[in-house]
Amino acid sequence: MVFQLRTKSPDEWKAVTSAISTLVDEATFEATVDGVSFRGMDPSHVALIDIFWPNSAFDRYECDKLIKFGVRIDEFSKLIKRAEKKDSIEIDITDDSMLQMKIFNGYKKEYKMRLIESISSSTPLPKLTFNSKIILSTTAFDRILSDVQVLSEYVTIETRPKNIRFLGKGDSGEADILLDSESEGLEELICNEESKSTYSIDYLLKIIKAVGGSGGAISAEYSSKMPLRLEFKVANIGRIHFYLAPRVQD
Amino acid sequence: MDFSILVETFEKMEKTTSRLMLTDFLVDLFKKTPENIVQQMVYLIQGKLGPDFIGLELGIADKMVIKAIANSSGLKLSDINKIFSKTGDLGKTSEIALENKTQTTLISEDVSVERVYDIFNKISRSSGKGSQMTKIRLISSLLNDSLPNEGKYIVKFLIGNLRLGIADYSLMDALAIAFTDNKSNRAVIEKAYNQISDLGEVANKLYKNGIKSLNTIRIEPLKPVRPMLAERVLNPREALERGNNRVALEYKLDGERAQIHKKKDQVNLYSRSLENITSYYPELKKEFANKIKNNSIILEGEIVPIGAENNQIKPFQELMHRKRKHDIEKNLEKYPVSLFLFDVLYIDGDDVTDQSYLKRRKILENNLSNIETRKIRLIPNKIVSQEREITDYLDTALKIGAEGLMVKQTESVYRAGAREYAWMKLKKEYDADLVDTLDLVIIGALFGKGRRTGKYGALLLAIYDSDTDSFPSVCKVGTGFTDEVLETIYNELKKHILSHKHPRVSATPNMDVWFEPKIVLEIIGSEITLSPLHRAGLNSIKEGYGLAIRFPKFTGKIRSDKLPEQCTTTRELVEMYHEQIKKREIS
Repeated sequence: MVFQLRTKSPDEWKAVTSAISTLVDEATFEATVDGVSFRGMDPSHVALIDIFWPNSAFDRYECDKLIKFGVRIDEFSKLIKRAEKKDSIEIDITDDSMLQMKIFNGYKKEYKMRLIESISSSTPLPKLTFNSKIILSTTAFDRILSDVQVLSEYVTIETRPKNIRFLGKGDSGEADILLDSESEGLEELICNEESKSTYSIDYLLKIIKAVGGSGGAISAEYSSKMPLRLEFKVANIGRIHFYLAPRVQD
Repeated sequence: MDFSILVETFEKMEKTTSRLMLTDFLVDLFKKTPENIVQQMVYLIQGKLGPDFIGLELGIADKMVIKAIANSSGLKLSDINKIFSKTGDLGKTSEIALENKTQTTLISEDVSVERVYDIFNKISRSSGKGSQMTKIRLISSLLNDSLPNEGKYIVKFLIGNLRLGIADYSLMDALAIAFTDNKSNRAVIEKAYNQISDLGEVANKLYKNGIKSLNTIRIEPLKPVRPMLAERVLNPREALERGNNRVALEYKLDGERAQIHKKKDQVNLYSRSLENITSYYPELKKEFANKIKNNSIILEGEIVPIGAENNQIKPFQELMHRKRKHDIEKNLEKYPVSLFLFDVLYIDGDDVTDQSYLKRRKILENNLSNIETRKIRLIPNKIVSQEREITDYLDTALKIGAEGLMVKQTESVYRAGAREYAWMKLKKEYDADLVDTLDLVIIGALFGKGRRTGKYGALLLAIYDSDTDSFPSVCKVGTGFTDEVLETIYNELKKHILSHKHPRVSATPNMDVWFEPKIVLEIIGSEITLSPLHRAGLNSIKEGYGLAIRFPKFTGKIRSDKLPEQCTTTRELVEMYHEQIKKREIS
């Protein structure tokens, strides 16, 4: 078995591990000749993360057959965090139970970490069609949600052809934020059908804070009373999708 | 099969106090059950995941369940705790939380009986580091897809709080009716059950291969056999009469009855209530593994505590030090035990239960007398035909610390699960006024006053009536308890509190609390009297009257080795009453 991955910086690994850590404690990665992927849901099946990281994004990528490896995500990211911005990271797995991580930075750091049992079943993706799509800068998205969170634990997103509203309602009052094509941070708005749906702010902010820092804009797609899908644009990583089930609207 | 079908049945059962209706509901349920899951269904109804001797336990802590409910309902932990403190019932809490669920999920799967059983099984098998997280995740995965009432029963099962009041007895009735249309086939089912102690396996075989196939079920090593029990006799004369004037005597030691199973290198010890107790007695396991040359064997004996310095038998209570999960190795030397073998049921591939007592005793002696050690011994025996001999042997028995004699018919076979006069227990001669100790099960309680405020002041106790499979009340007891024991009993009883009188309990007094019959106490009383209040032996002496124990007092022994069905029976109580009258007439 040959399995070796090398990246020029720890940034991608950091984005991937912090995204996953918002949902689960243990992660099973799957690597093939084409690249590395992860798919998993939080225990309550409210949110799902779907990541694909193509071989072309790596400085070096060697994998001759399908391999699954499981890690405790907090332990794994602790090691990743020992690398600085310009350090390259190499990950090898030579037998089933151990992962080897080398960090190159003037001298060579080498860690070995015990793998955990990988989860064999694969998580299915929800089949969805999206009637609305918005692209917001990470900063704007973060700010809007934080604005609503002052009064409410959840946000209702209402998309119309010309504008989009973020509404919140709590015990002490209501929040109402309106954006149109002129608004700063709103990069794109597509509305095939007016859509209105409510989501937990906690889940959204956690993932935006975890991944947003490494990327530019975030695309959000959804339909009325249906799950939302966020797509993060992180350099080099082919796909980071985050799915979130809606709340029951009163 | 949809889990909701099982839940509907559970809901109906919870609303009834009639035992006959419970059986009807079970029959309906079994008729809807597909063949491939009848075994799991039996376990689920019993509130278990398998037969007791396998030891698959759930017993999930409240805290973990609360976290799982929070995950699945989308409600905050503090909200769940609020509901819990209001309802006091985690099952109900789960139901309310799921009714108020505000969060949808991305994907959902059907909740089937198979899936629920499978996940319960995974939860019980997960252990070690990170297992708490795994358990919470598994519980959530079920609750995510559950309807509120399904969630209620899932939680009740997880925390061991599924109090449906279904006895094996009713279950067997229901199996007979559902799969053979003939209730009297229960006897065939019970016989098979007595051999292997696994009702799930029996039900499975019954469904697949029919009632006749159950006759092929035989005892086998590593599956505990339901023990043969003894009837009580009151004096040597009665013992001789019932034993056709020639009987075998053995000391009746006051310890823990154990069944020892060996198959190749595997040695297991099972308790009288069929639980695997091997881990409590590692030295006995080792001794059997090393000394017994037979490839396979099933033996029976009594484990008794002995002195660390000498081999003298110590009181039963000393054994309690050995029934702790911790410090087993340390207590092993401080509180040594000895096992006195008295029977053999199976040897090298042969079931010998249908051989006579004398033949079995011969097999026991031939195979084991040369390996007697301090830890394993054969119990002495003596064949007699005179009353005098019995009286003398009883005296010797009492002197060495036994509680009496076992008197056995010499030609009797070993009948698993039976209580007959083939085996008799004889304790010391009773004084005219004093009844012997009784084993009674706690069914209710009144709150205490004064020093016992916040605890129970008096406990309502019952005997077991095997004809109706019920627990009729026989007395209220409030004396003989130390504060420490009272505390222990209080905490133990908490797990068995019911919202109403248990369907198998028969009692008229109004109680502050009712319990599932579980905990057996040893009680001594001054006499047995007629009672208009208590239901034990109702109408058996006088129309409209039951029997009660006068001046009952707790002896200090919690009989954790006894199942409620193994406590004093109506028949024994009535007999004791008659004997008491006779004694009075003589004196």
